[in-house]
Amino acid sequence: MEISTVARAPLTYRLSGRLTYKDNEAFSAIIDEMAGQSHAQVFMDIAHLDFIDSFGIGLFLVAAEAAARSGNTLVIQRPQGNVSRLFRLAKLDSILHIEGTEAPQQAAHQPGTPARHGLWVSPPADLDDHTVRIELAGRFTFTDHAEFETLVATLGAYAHKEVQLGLSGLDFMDSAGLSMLLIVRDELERLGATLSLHSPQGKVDQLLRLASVDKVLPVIPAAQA
Amino acid sequence: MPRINQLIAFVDDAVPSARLVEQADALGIRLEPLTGHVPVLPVPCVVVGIASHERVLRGLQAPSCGFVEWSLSDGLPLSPSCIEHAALGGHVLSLNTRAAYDLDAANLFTQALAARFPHLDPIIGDIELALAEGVANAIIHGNLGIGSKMRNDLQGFAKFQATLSSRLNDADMTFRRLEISAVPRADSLLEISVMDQGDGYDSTAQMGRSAEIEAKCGRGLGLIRQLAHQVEARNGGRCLVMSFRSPPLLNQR
Repeated sequence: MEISTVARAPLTYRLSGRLTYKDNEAFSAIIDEMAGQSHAQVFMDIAHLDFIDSFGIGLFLVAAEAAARSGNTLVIQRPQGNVSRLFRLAKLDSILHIEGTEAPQQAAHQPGTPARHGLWVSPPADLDDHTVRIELAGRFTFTDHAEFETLVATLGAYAHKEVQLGLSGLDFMDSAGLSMLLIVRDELERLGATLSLHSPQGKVDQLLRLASVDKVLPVIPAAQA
Repeated sequence: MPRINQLIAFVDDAVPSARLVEQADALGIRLEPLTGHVPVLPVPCVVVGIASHERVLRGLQAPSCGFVEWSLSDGLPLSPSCIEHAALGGHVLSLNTRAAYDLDAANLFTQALAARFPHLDPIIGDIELALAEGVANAIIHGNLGIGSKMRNDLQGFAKFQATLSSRLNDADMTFRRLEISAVPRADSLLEISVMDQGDGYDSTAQMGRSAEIEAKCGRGLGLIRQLAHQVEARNGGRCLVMSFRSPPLLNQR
């Protein structure tokens, strides 16, 4: 992926090519630069972004939250083609500021093809030496065991660390998803690590409150996250 | 079962079997081929056919009021409760277990309810969560017969996933049906039922249970009780009926 700064006021980046797990470092530099802004809108023009994977989605969510923490608003402009479709599938339009989205295309599913909008798990982002942030997006239900197992498989790397799960991109979670989060917490505690949940929205926030999860896990609302 | 005489089942892109035709005749249901869009008619209609995301969506969208999965392997897909609820002006979805799992039946049905009854908007989140819990219970514990105690730790969870995958490939279990229906009742109540074909359970004992905060399983019914106005288990635990009190105008279409 290539990133260029096309304007300084307002700060505007242009992203092109493929945004994948390989672009963590370049994207982190943008996040740091955005933190230097104050109460501003920061724009990312992604009209020439051809491809994005789940890691890339996680990076956008991390960037949006980082911007919000420093009082800024990240505005993502002109997603196209498969990038736009992926944004819709992950329902990012409900949690990110997106402008100039192209009209939805006719569904491309073949007859008989299942269409399920499941869980997205971002790769970990190191916030500092002791804190790791992972973003969840989409829908987290009893059917999402494959993604859950992928997440669990990485836990061994977080011994004695603080693991933050960002939930702002999570649109829906059922009690099975909640159970899986408690299993993650148990596994992390076994490793001397801790787990906290950040920025739950809407129905996910409702579930956490109904199940009184804040009594057994730190749940940090969006305003404080 | 009385003859309905006011329900049309549009068969989507498949030639109905003689058994399906006989069943529809016995129930007084008109079977019609579906080509293109579902026509607007003065009587309720459902779409019957092989399940896919697009076809289920078409069946759940007006003017149709439901989708009933049918394939050559299916015997008698048009259950009495399903056609009764459709004929009453309700919304129905009847799928085999595999399709219900793959297609996220609860989500599709909730979207259809939100489109058909826009005034449910203030409580649609409650309905979605309660329905998702009811459907997950019906699939996991009902049709696939998997107990709820497996998921207490990581090892138990791995065992649960292996059992789930294995049973989703067991033809006898995946051909069991899951039916969801929503019917407007008196007093601004919307009655949503989730029916499975499992072995049932001791509903009296389970309905009285409250989940612990740390519980990693068995939370579903407790959540449903918090979300719904009224909850009732029928048919030995094979049918969960949840009533939601909504703003008026439930009968609009």
